[in-house]
Amino acid sequence: MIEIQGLTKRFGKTVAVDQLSFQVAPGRVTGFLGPNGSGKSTTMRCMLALDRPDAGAALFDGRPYQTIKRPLFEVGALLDAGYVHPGRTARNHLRTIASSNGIGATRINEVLELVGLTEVAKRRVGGFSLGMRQRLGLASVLLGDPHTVILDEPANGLDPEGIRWMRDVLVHLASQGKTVLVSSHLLSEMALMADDLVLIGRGRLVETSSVETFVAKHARQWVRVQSPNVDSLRQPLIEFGAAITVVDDSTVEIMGVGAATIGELAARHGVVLHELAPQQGSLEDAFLEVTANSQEYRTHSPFAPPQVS
Amino acid sequence: MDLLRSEWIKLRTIRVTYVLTIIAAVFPLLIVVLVAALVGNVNDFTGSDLVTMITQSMVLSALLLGVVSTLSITNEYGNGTIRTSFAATPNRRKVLAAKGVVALAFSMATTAIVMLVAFAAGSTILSNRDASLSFDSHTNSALVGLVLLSGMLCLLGYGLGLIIRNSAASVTLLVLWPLLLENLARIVLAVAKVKDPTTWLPYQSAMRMVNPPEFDGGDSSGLSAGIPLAVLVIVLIGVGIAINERRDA
Repeated sequence: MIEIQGLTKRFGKTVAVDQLSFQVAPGRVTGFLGPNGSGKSTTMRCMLALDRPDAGAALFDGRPYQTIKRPLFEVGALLDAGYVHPGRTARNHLRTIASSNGIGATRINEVLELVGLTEVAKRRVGGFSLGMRQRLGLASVLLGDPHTVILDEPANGLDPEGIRWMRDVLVHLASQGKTVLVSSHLLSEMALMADDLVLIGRGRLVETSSVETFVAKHARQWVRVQSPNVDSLRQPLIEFGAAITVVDDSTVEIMGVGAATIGELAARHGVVLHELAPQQGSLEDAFLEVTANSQEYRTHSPFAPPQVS
Repeated sequence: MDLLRSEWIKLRTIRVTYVLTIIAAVFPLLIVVLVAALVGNVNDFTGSDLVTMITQSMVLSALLLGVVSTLSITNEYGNGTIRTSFAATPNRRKVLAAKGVVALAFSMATTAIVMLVAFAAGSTILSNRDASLSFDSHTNSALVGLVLLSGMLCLLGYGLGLIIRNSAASVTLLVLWPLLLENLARIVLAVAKVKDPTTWLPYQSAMRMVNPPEFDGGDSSGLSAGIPLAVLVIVLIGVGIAINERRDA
């Protein structure tokens, strides 16, 4: 269990993290989301006592990180896969970390095997791709088989197979009862992997809930209707307060009225339906909706789909 | 012990440590062997000359080992691995102390070994050429002083690295301090008519530990001449650790 209590971190006049409080439960993957510059990485650094918070605390099973004697056995963290000496081999990189907590060579071999880097263990890290460095970073996280795992953008640089592998690893760790906190910009990945979400913007907590609840609450929901005489449905739907977007001659998207109601209306007016499909926006849609006012840098894309009227 | 082992692995698993250590070892050995083998009149060559040759050529070695020590901390900041180190051991003071101890032990041990090998090689070559070498208390003191000087230069580099956190700037300052800055300061103090300006200059004072008495006008200060540099090093490391305790990693 991770508890963040009123965490505040300032850099000069800039408040990077502002009175942030949330909890991360064991046995679940918790996604840590927020726009660029929202304070995710700073929060993670404060959690690990790397940055000194101005106020508040981060507790791991009730204890501040700096009081844990051999942290690798309790909290495994990967903040940046680039934190390596390029001239060191993968195995030696792990040895420098493992030996500080009394972890032996056997476990190093095990984690190298786990992340699929055994064959390149004697190669210098400077020649590794970003994806290989992410795997090496995850190996360092797993060295002490910790019950809490914190990862900042672990999917960066991974190919599709690597992303899926990372997802499976994190879901597996959570299924073992471990506490998993992971930040990522890949919202589609987060939707597949995370059980819970902590969403922050401008250093403040915006929302914390399960992924399902978050999407249901914030993502657009509509019904896709396809019919050879869809025009006959238009007036009855408008009378029900529906907003209609025409897709093509036979297809419309309807907001504000449920699929059951549309089906009943169609039956009542003798309209044949070829498709009646409830649709829901993605986690990305919900994220953008909620963080609209928290984005530090925004663009208005000329490629964005037209808004429903 | 775990931390010392970790820091030792860090030091010996990067190439720059090997490159600089090999140069630091080969350079004085080469000088000693060549001079001992090629010197014209061996009867004029004394034990004191051999020791002076070793200590003076090994000052560069001590500086190079100081650079190794400097890079052991600045590389960690440059590559971001200091965050991994502090995350693995949240007690920063312990990490920094272990790193300093390992760098100091490496520097002093390397200097002692190279010095003894150079001494053995030089003595053997000169003895085979029928030179008669005798040693006095000053030559013994100079050899001990060289090891101490190496340790202090190692810690000077480490302290500068702790404060500056940047490899290029720290190494530049470590090298310029003895080679340029103290010489400039000495000129300024001399112009200001300060009596015995070397006393006020930590590195130049420490050099009296290894210089033969005739280098300093017959004055042999012994190992106590290293005290100003030792104090400077202690202050720098103390400030460096205090800064690192408070700053974000």
